[in-house]
Amino acid sequence: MSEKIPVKLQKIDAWRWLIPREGNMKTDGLVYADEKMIKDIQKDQSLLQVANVATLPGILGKSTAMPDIHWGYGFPIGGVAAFDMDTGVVSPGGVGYDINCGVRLMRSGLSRKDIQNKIHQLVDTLFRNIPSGVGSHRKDLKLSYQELDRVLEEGAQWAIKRGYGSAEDREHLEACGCIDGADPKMVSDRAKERGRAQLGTLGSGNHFVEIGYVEEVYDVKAAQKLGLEKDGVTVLVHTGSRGLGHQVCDDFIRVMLEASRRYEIELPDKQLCCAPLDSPEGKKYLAAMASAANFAFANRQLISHWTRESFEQVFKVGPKVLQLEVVYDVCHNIAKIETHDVQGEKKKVCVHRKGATRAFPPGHPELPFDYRELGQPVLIPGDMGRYSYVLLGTEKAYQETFGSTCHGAGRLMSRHEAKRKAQGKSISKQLESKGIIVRGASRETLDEEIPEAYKDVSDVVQVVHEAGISKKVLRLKPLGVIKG
Amino acid sequence: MRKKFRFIDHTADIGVVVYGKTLTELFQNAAESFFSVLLKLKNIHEKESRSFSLDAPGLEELLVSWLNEFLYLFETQGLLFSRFEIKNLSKEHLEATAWGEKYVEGKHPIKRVIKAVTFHQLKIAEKNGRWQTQIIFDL
Repeated sequence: MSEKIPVKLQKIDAWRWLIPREGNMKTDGLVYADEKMIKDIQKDQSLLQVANVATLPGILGKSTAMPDIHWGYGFPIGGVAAFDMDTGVVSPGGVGYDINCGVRLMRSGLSRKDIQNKIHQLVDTLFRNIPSGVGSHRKDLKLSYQELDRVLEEGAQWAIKRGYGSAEDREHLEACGCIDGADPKMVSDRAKERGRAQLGTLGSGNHFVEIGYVEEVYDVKAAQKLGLEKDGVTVLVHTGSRGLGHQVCDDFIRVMLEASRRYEIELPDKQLCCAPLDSPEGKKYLAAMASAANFAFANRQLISHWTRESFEQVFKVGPKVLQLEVVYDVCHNIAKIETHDVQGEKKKVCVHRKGATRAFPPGHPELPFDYRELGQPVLIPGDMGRYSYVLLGTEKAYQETFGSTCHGAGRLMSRHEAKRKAQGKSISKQLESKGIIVRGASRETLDEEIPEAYKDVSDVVQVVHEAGISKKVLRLKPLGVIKG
Repeated sequence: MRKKFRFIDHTADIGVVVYGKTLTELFQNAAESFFSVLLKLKNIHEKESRSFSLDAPGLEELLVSWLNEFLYLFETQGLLFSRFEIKNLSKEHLEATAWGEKYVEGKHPIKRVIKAVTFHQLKIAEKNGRWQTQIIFDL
C-alpha cells in the first residue's frame, strides 16, 4: 500500500522479540511470536505501529504485541499498551472501532452424540432467532431512547433484570458485564440512533455464534473446574457494540485529532490521536467508551438468551436439563483502568487492549469466586473450519503484559484473496463435508471468511502458552456456525 | 470514460482508490464506490432523494463526513443511493443531493457491510489535472 519502513528487531528467546527504543520512542517494543510468524508479521507495517505506540506520552512498561498481531488503524491489532493515569493518554485507536468486541463461552449438559442428529435444526433455529442480516432485528425488542441509556449504564445487568438470563451469568463476565464510569450523555445522538435498532443483533464480518464440543483437554483438573469435559457441547458467541461503538470511535477520533493539536502531542500517525487521561476529552472518551462496552455486554447477554431458547425449542426440554451456563465472557477491544505493579509499586494504569484479551492470574480479586484459584478463563476463537481454545491467565502475564494475551487467529489473506480462493466452490458444502454446518446472511461474507483466510489459531496459542503468558486448558471443535 | 474508482487489497478491510476530473467528481465517485462495496449499484433505483449540507474543518474530513452520511442513512433508515450530485463544494463545506431507494430484502442482496469510513492514509491530491484519493473502509 505504501513504502515499508524497516523496524529493528532483536530476538530475546524463541517466543519474544524486542524492538529497541530509538528516536522518539519512550520505551521498547515487545512482540510475542515464533521464528516463522515473525517473518509474516514483518510483511505489513504492524511492527512500525508497535514502535509508534511507544512514542506516546506516559506509556508504561513496553509497547506490546501478541502473536496474532496485524496491521490496524494507528495501533496494531493484537496490541497492548498501558499508560500512567497522570502523565499518560487514552486513544480511541488503541481500543478500535468495535468497542468491547468480545467472546462468550457457554457450556451445556449435552454431549456431542446428543446433538449429532439435530445440528441442522439447531443452526436453522439459531439463524431464525438471532438477527444477523441487514436491518434485521427482533420484533419483540423495541427500545426507547431512555431505555437505551439504561443499557449503556448497566450493561449485561440491564438484560438480566428483564429476564434475559440469570444472576449467575453476571458473575462469570469480565467486569461483571458492566464497565464503571459509563455516561450516556457522552454518546452522540447519532451513535444512539445507530445502536437502538441493533441491540441483540450479531452483525457482519467475523462475528458468529458457534456450536461446538470439547475436542481435546490438556488440563483435566482446570477443565473440570470450568465445568467442561471431553465431548461436552459448548456455544461461543463473538460480537460487539455494533454501529453504536463504531460511531463512538468515529466521533472521538475527530475530538482527539483536535485534542492532540491542543495538548501538543506529537503523532507519528494521525490515527494514534489521543488526549491526556486527566483531560476533559480523555474523560469524556472513557465515559462514552464504557457506555459502548456496556451495550456490547448487553448484546452478548441477549444473544446468549436466544441461544438458550433455540436449544430449548429444538430439544423440547427446559433449561434445567440443557444447563447452558456461562463459562466466561471476555472483552478484546477495550481500555480499562486497572491496578498493576509498575517497578515494584502498585499503581492505577489505563491498559489499552486492541485485539488482545485480559489474562489475570490465579488469586486476582477481580476473578469470580469459583475461578479464583484457577486464573481467568481466556477464550480464543479460531476460524469457522478449525478450532478454538480455552486458556487461563497466569502470573507471568501479570508481570510481563499487564495481564494480557492474544485474542484470535488474525487474518492472513485479504478479503479479495479469500474470495478468489473460494471462487466457484461452495464454502458451506465444503465445511459440511467436514461435519460443520454453516449459515450466513451473505455468500460474500462466507467466502471472505473461509478458514484459509486466517492464521492457524493453534500456532498463535502455542506461542502464548510457551511464553507463559497463558496456559492451554482445552480445544473446541465447531459443529455448527451462524455468521452475520 | 476513465475509471471512476478501483478496489485495492487490504488484509482485514477494503480499500478503494477514487479518481475524478474535478474535486466534485471525486466526491461523487467516492460515494459510488461506497455503495459498490455494499451491492451492485444497478440494483438501486432512483425513487427518492436526500439533500445534504455538511461542514468540516478540512477537505479530507469533509470527504469522511460525506461518506459517513450514507453509512448513517443506510444503518438507521435502510437508504441506498446510486446517483449523486454535488452542487457546491469548498474546502470546508458541501451541498449535495443523492437519489436512491430503501433497502428491500431479496431485491438488494448485500455483499458486505461497511462499519466505518477511516482516516487511514487519507489524502486528497491533484496530479496532472486529475484528482485522486484512497479510502479504507472498516468492515
